[in-house]
Parts: sequence; C-alpha cells; structure tokens
Amino acid sequence: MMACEHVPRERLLDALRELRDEGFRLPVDLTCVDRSALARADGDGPRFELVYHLRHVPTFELKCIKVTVDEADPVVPSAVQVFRGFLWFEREVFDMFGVRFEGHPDLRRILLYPEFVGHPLRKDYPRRGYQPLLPMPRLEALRQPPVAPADFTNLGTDFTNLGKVREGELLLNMGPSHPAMHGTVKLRLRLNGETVEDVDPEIGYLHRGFEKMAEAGTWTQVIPYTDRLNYVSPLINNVAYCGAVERLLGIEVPERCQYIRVFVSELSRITDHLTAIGASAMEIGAFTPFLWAMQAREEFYYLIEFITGARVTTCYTRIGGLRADLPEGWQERYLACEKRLMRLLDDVSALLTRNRVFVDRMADVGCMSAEDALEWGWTGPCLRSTGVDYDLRKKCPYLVYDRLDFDVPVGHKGDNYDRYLVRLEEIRQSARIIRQVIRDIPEGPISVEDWAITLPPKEAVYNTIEGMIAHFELIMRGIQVPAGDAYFAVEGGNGELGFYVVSDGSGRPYRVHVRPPCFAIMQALPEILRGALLADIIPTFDSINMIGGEIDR
Amino acid sequence: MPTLTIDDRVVTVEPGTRVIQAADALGIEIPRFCYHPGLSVAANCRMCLVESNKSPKLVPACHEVCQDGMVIKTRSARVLEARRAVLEFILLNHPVDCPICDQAGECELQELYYKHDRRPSRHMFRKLHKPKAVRIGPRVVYDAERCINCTRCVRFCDEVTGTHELRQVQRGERTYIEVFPGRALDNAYSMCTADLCPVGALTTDDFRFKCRVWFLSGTETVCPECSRGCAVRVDTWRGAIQRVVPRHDPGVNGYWACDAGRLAYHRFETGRLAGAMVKGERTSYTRAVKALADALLELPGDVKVSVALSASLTHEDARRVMRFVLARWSQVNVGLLRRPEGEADRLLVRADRDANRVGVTGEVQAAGLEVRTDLSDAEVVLVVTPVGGVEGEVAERVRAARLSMVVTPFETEVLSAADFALPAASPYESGGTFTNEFGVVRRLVRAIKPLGEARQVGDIFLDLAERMGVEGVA
Repeated sequence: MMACEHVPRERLLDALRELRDEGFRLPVDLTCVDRSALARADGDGPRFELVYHLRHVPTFELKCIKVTVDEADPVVPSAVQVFRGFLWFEREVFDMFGVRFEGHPDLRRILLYPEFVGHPLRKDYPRRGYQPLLPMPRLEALRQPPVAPADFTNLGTDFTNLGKVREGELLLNMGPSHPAMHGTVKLRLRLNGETVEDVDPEIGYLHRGFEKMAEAGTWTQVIPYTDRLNYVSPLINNVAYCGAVERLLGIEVPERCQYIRVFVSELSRITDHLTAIGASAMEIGAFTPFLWAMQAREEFYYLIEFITGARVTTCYTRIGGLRADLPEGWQERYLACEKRLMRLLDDVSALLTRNRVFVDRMADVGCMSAEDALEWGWTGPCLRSTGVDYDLRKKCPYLVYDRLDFDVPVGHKGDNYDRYLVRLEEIRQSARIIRQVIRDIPEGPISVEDWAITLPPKEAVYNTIEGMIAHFELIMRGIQVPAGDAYFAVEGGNGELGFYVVSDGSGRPYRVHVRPPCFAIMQALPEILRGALLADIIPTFDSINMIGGEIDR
Repeated sequence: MPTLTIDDRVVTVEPGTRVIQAADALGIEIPRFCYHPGLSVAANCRMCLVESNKSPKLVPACHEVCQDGMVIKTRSARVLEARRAVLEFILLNHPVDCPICDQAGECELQELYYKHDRRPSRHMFRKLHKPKAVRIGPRVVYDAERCINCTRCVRFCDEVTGTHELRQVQRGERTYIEVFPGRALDNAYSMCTADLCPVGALTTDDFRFKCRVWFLSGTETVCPECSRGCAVRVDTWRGAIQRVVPRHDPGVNGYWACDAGRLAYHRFETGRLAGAMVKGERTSYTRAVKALADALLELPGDVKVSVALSASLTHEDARRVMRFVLARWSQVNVGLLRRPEGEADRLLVRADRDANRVGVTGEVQAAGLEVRTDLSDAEVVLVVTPVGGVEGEVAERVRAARLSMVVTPFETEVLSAADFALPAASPYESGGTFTNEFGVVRRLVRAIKPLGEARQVGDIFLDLAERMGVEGVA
C-alpha cells in the first residue's frame, strides 16, 4: 500500500503550493481511478479518485496526494495554476474519465478526437465500444478555393488553440504522416514566414487503449502490451511494469534476476539512444551517421534476439522473475557487440560532435532552463541537459544499481546539442554498467520460487499433478495480487517511466496507468518552439525523442 | 445451546450442530472433500481438521459436535500443515489428467491444493494405476485413479436413493469404488453422483468432453419436466445448452434432481418447427401471423372456440392466451392439454409430468372459466403448448375443425392438416412463473434464445393482438 495524503478538493491547490514551497517542485504524474467497480467497504463512496505524484528537488523523494470526487460533481480545481507540468495530465484525465479541471487554460481531449462520445477508462465504458460515424459536411467546403484567414473556421479544422491568426500568417499541419513526425504525431503550426508563432502538438494517433486493455486479462497478460510502449526500449518497460506489480505483491526478485534486469535495461537504453541520435542526425541531413547508428543498433537487436527471442517484442520479464535465464555465451556475444558499438560510436561522434553544420543547427536551439524543465515535469536526458542531475538509478535506486559505478552526464544549456551530448555519453555509461554486471552477476534462480507467482517448471507441470494444478490455476485465475495500489518508476530512455497499478485482490488488474516520460516533455514543446524558426522544429522535436507508443499508449 | 469460539469469534448454536456447520454460517472457511450437508458425516478425507481445546489431537470439524466452551482454531500452524499433508497424500497417486478431465475449472482438488498447499511433489516413483473411464452406469463414467475415496457417491446411493449400488473395494492405497457385480449405477438420480464428486472421478456421459466449464454461462431456472419444478442451473455456451445441474432449494428438491429431468433439454434439440405453416405450406412467422390475424378477424364473436392449453405453460403465457381469446369471443371452452402421466417415485419425481397444472388451471379460473374436458363441437380450435403433445384426440379435433391454429415447438404430421401452425419456444427458451404441485411458486428463466423463428407463447399472442387491434392482452 502506498503512503499518501488524502486531501479534500477545496484544499488541493493549497496543499500543492505548500508542497512546492517545501521543495516538491517536480510534478511527476496525475491520474485517476474509477472506483465504481471495486467492492468497497465504504459502500457508495465518491467515484473518482485523483492521484497526484510529486518529487522533491534535490532529494527526489516521492509524495502522493489523493483527491476524491463524486460522479455527480466531477470537478476539481486545476493544478496547472501551481505546476504547468500538469497541463496535459489534466487533459488526459478529462479525456478518459470526464473529470473537469476548473481553471485549466485549455481543457480539451488529448488522446481522442473531439467528437468522441464518452470517457473510455470509466468502468461502464465497454472495451469494445462503438462510436458514431462522423458526418463530413466540411468535405464540400474543403473543395472551395482558399479563403481569408478570418474564415478559417469553416474549413472543419479548429485552430483556436493557436492564438489569433494574423494577416499573412500560415496555418500548417505538420504530420501525422510526415517522415520526421515519427511515432505519428501532428504539430499544428502557426507560421509567420519562417517564424513559429505557436505550435499545438496533437497526439493520440497511436493510442491503442493500453490502459483499458490492461484491465481485460490477468496481470501477466499485460506484459506483452508493455513491449509496445516505448518500443525502442521494450525491456525497460517490461522491467518497470513487473517491478510495480512486485511492489504490490511485496516480493523481491532473486539477485541474479536483478542483475539480468539491469543488463537488459541498459541494452534497451543503448538502442533507444542510438535511435534518437541517429534519427536526429538524419533529419537534418546527416544520413551517414544515421546508418552507422543503425548498424550499431542492429548488433544490439541481434543480441537481444539471442537473449529474449525477439528483437523488439521481448516480453522478457515475468512477475517475480524472467521468462528464461541468459543463454550460454552471452558475455562473449555482448563484448563483441560492445566492441563494434564503441567503434561506431566514435565514428558517429567524429562526424557530428564538432561538425559545424550540426552544431549550428542544434546548439542554442530548443533551450530550456532547469527551473522551467522541473516545473514542466521533465525527466531523463532532457532534464539532465538543463543541468539537473536527476536519474532514478542514482536518486531512487532500484534493482542493483546502487552497487554499480557509473556517471550521470549533465548538460548546462538545455538545448538540442546538450541533449545529443548527454545521450551519447549515456551510451558509454551503459556499457560501463554492463561490464560490471558481467563481472558481478551471481548464479542462482531467476524467478521467485513460489507457485502462487511463478509458473512451475515444465518437467513438474507435465509429470506431477502438483505442477499441473499450479500451472492451471496460475494461468486460469492469474496471480492473485493483494488489494491496494503502488507506484514504481525506473529510469527509462526518456526519463521517469512510472507504473501506477491498482489491485482489487484478484488475478486481474483493476487499473494500470503508465506515466510516460515523453508525455511531460512534449507538453512543453510549444514553450521552447515559440519564436524559433521553421528549420528548428525538426531538430528540437527529434532531440526530445518522443516515442509514439509511449506518449499515446 | 452451546456457545463456542471459532478463530476468536464467539457464536451460540443449536445443539447438535457440527463445528463445520457453525464455521460455514460464520463465513469462516474450512476446506473439505467428503462432507456434504445432504449426506451423513463420513470424516474420512481429514481435510477439515481443526485445532480444538477439547482434544490434544486435531479433530475433523465435520464430525465434531459443538460444545459449550469449545475453542476452535482453523488457521494455526498445525492446522495449515495438516491440510498440506492431507493434500500431499491425496495427490500422491493422482493422475496428471487435468488437460483431459472435465472437472478442470470446477475441481475441488485443484482449488484446495492451490489455496492450501502449492508445494512441489515429493513422489519419486511410478503412480499406482487403477481402472479408468469405466462405464459404471448408462449415464455415468468412473475413473478410479482420480477418485479420492471420499465416499460421497456411496453414501448418496445408500442414503438418498436407497439403491446401494456402490461400495469401496480393496484396501489402503488400492481402494476404489465399484458397483456390485451384476448391477449398474442406473438409478433415477445417478447423475447426481457426478455433481457430488469433488474431482473428475465421476462424470456424466451427457457432458463428457463437451465443453470446458469456464466457457459456460449459468442460468438459474427450474426444470419443466414434472410438477415438482426442481431448481436447476442450465449451463450454456454459444447459445446452446451444454448441461443441466441441480441447485439447492430446500423447499422443493433439496440438493438433487432426477436424471430424466436433467436430460430433457435434448428433446427440444431436434424436430423443431423453425418457421410457420399456413395450410400446410411453409411461410415466415410474420406472414403467418398476418394471415392468421386476418382469418380470425373474419370470425363472428359468437363462434364456438375450444382452446387446448398445455399444463406446462407459464402463468403469464396462459394469462395472455386467456385474455386474447376472451377479448374476441364469448363461447369459449378451455381444456388442459396434459402430458401422459408417469410414475412417481419416493424421492422427487412426480406422476404429473407438466410443470404448471396448478398454475394454468388457476389462470383459467381467474379469467372466469372452468377447465372442461369435453371440447367437442367447436368450430375453431386453438392448441397452445410449449412442450408439444399435439396428438391423439387433440390432433383429431385439429383436423376436424373449421379453423385450427396450433402453437407448438415440434413439427409433426398434424401440422399439415392444421390451418395455421406457429413455432413455440420451449420452456428452456421461455421465462415466466410456475406453481408446482405443492403450491410453491418459482421462476422459469430463459436460458437460450428460441430456435429459428420460434417465439414464447405469450409473445405470439401479443403479436396477434397487436395485429388485430385486440386490447388488454399484455
């Protein structure tokens, strides 16, 4: 059970301000739980429970606040007045649950389209819910010749969130089908010549209902979905989700498992950063380093396939352990990989780090201050590029990170260039971590040996009735997780990747919420792009490394 | 009235109450295999052992009678270890059959092992083999390897049916159950032994390998096969009935149901009238209703009408037919269409094989008429039945009538002679109320959708009434 403070909604803003004054300046997450399907001791309590998470700077201690509101009056004062970093989080709660945030500057749906009917994460919204077909009265209007800016409202696209359109300005949809808008996202731009007057990122094109589907099966059946969150670092998602459920179960995985989870997390971090660096280079014209980064990444995918059986859809961790132990020869395979990685990394760096064009495009572009970054809820390489050395592996160690030696690179300008440098160095630090894992990893079991959690070994399942029954019950009923809630976060490729899970005591999750690091980062994109040039959009967007699977779920 | 403490909860009970009954009433869980409230206490499985201050050894809660000042612990370390030990012994020779065993998903052995044990096997040797898949009766199959020798089935045949077909044979670990030589487990309630069996040792032939239990949706309803109306649960999957099992209803059938009643649903699986017929020609339900409505509208109000109402109609359906008929015509004879009587037994089966004779008779009387036996010289004949039986004298009347309308589930030969034939839903496809022979009222609940274009009898008459502008039928 999580320790949290229950606050009446009238006191919410004051409580948040007090916490901020005490030093809790990093807004981590805001989500909601629909309690109407819980068999509650309090009978008909309020339906919606809002859960706020904040971290203290510089200790990064976690604080949780809960506010409950009734179905009849689902309104809460908007926390954006205290922390801008709740901007998109409140929009998502509104989108998914229908809770309204009074005072929010822009309360509209974020993952779903405006005409969507209903709030899908509510328990009474069916998993297979049908939506009415949209009429297309604007189709004819679109075939008319272009009209003056004042008449833009009849084009069927609402540009009101981009401020007042002035004479000579251009409204442009960048994406979602745009080669640089990877992960599928639309940047709605208001351009004055080449200057970006305003930008409104429109996400949700890759929204697949992860959090809703997580409530459909057993706890274990959520794991394959986690692969598809940040799909360039799937192993980190596997580790984070299982860690959250293990926290609810009150169990710790065996030591060897912890080392392996660290190992595969760093492998994933490397693939994530290689992709980010490579793609940002390519999209400003440097194609060669992209291919080299991809070659390095390919080595790692081959290694990951050797270990887990898949390049991307790894599904490697299990609640209480792992799917299988590392295959024989993994150390040699890794070291061969690492050798090629270091060569390619040096080559990429040689082409980019002191490249005049690259530096001119990236340095002093997309600047973010440490103060603002914290207020927006930035974490990971983006936060560290501003000079704040927050890395969960150091500040809130998990698994065996507290036994390992590694540095956390930190920038000082918070620009695109610093983000590039931070990621580049993190790859080297990940390699350093992995070397220590190879040196220190103990023998032993890789899963908790309790048949209430881990499947029995197949020899036992096929040959003994005990193993057969335990297997049957675990598969059919799922791991019985005691009722309660827990938040567990790891250092993902993009920053704090958290899972907030709620159990009703059964083998099926009641609520699984993902705290996506790039969600908090992207909401600040307008802030750093306003006043920038059109050509700055792509390097800035790339350096943020938004991954569609993670931001949209 | 002894007062005792179970797990720090104090309770006062009737004298003679067993500890396990007191715990059940308190909601305190005591695992068990051989104990069943409808049978005598055997105390052979030892799964319900609990700690008692009245004894240095653990005592079986199913046998132990509550005494004043008794202190029972159901979760002490000794008790928990005893449960694991009992399960280990039972599982020693238990075959690894779950993937092919019908009981998987509703198996007490699976559930209790997972809840109270979960330790790996310590068994080093080959398991003991015993007879498997033995057809011990026309409707029941026995697997001696899966049997945990709880003797529920033996006690059932001794105490409930009094037929004594089963006995334990052999000794020690070789013990299993056998029928007496020359006999079979063929009493009228033999399938109840499969319900009783906590494992997959006894399974019904009817359900064997049919469907995995976790796919089933259960409908709590009553059996329509005789005038007792035993409480049953009809389990369906994908809109088809897979099995029927008894429910506990102390005022009607206790814990049991008869085999014939449970299997009766098969009768409605074949030979069904899926659409409608008009003068022997097949047509759609809607067209037939239209044609019938037109034909009935042409009849004068004083034409002689005779209605044969099945005694298996629900209260509500019978009521609608009566309202419809009396709203149109004044010269109405109503007769009961009854299924042929059978033999009653000393247990549940009643001679009257209709579900609602008391109820239908009551509805006719409530409408102001008396049930008549002579239905001669009627020009218009209506036969309304959800269970068929349009034969013999009734069929003759249909043939002889000036205008005949038959509402029945089955497509029989007489329908080609009838002017109008509409497809009726069976009792498994209908919902309503029955009053059994003893005056007990129970709900019939629809378990599956009517086959083809069949419709519940009452709804058919609603449709007709709507078409004809007849008011007050609903």
